[in-house]
Amino acid sequence: MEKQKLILIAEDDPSVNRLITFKLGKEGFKVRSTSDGKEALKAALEEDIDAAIIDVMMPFLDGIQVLKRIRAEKPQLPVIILTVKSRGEDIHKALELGADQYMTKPFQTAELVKSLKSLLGEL
Amino acid sequence: MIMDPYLYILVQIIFVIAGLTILFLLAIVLLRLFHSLGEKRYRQMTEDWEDVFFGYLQGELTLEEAAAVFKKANSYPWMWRFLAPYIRSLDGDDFDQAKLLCRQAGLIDYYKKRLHHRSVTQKALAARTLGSLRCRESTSDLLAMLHSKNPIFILAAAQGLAASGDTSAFAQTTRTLLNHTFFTFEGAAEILSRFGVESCKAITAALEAKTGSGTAENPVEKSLLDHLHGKDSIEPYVYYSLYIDLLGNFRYREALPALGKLARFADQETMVHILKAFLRIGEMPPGFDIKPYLKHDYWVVRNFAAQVWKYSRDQEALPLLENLLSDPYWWVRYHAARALSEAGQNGKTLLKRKTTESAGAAADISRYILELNEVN
Repeated sequence: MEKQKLILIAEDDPSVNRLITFKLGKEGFKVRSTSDGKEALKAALEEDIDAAIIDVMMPFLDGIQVLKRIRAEKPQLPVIILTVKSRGEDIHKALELGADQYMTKPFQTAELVKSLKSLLGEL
Repeated sequence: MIMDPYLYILVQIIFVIAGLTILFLLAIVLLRLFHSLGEKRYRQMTEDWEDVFFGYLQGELTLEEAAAVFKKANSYPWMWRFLAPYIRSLDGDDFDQAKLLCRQAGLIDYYKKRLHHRSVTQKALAARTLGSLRCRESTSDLLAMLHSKNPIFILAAAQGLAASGDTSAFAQTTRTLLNHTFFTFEGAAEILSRFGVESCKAITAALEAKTGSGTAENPVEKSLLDHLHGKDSIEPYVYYSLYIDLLGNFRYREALPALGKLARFADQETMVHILKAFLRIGEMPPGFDIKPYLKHDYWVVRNFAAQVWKYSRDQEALPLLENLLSDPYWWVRYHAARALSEAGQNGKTLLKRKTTESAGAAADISRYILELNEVN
């Protein structure tokens, strides 16, 4: 039986976090949910995560910093960045640092799942 | 003691001002207090609602059980405030379930009544809410709102109709937005894009009918075709520009053949939008000849033609790109040089030759692009 993939969610907005957790759970993923950058980084580096969905604006450590440190230790880990439409410089920076995909809020959860599955080679 | 009359009046004025200031500050404090208490209550409710909502979506609660919890709060604005972010992000079965919950809890009926409220704000909010909930039964009410003289209502109705995705309202919404001077072209395009990719089917059918490669079959397609035929007060090129921009926005590949045919008789403004659409879609129709547009009279067309050349890689167009290195407009020279730098060895050789053989704008831009490529 194929191992359930573990996805890290780093999102400080509780409703967005809950929604993504719900959707990914429904799609058969296991979810490790965090609400700040420090916790997210710890989880990403210490746990056996298969992919990460990281919000840019988070307390303690922002998503860009988290991504930078993840890339230093786990360059192959698929990462999707979440950001607001107006922050073009965040998108640019994230892609330069090696984010695989980005999604602007508000997004359709189906699109997020499709992107994730595509990165995990499930599409 | 008898006070000087002027001093007396001054003292009275000071007392009145002080009194009003204190009342004003007290009112602010009380309002803040009520607001905080309200927010505290809202947060407490939403903690319960979260569990109920997701429990319902996951099948742990029935529709009736979940709706009863929401109804108990007796506050539809709060209910919508909580549900709105989820409604806007959910799709498929999850959206349908969430909408069913809204209906069962009475939220939809509440906002339908609010569409006829006296307050402008309430009516506008109702229009947007019903749109977000894709309540197509409210389409006729929202279409009626489009005819309002109040721009707030028109905007709310347009946003509501677009959010609902009901393409039967697409043509009328387009005409209304373009007819009013308080909507910019870009603003209208942004609102209309919320109708979703379904609108692209109707637009493509209308373009195909216009170019003789198809027929407009349903009322929406026929209305759009009427727009393109100039059957109202808005110039056809405005409709063409808007519709083509929407196709590009959705990267609607299926429209490429129609766009290719349209290019044959498009005016310069429409041509700019066609080329922009190719750029956004990331390809051109098979066999599309870009060469005539590389020598077009209008510099903006030349500019975009140079940018989309890469989708054809037509080597016969290289001399035309070379000519554009001396174009009067910097952006045309820049994009022509970029195209040549991506055209393989032939293009690069041509650019290098320009830096040595000629002086002036062509040499400058060639040198600039070659240096840029080295840096990257």
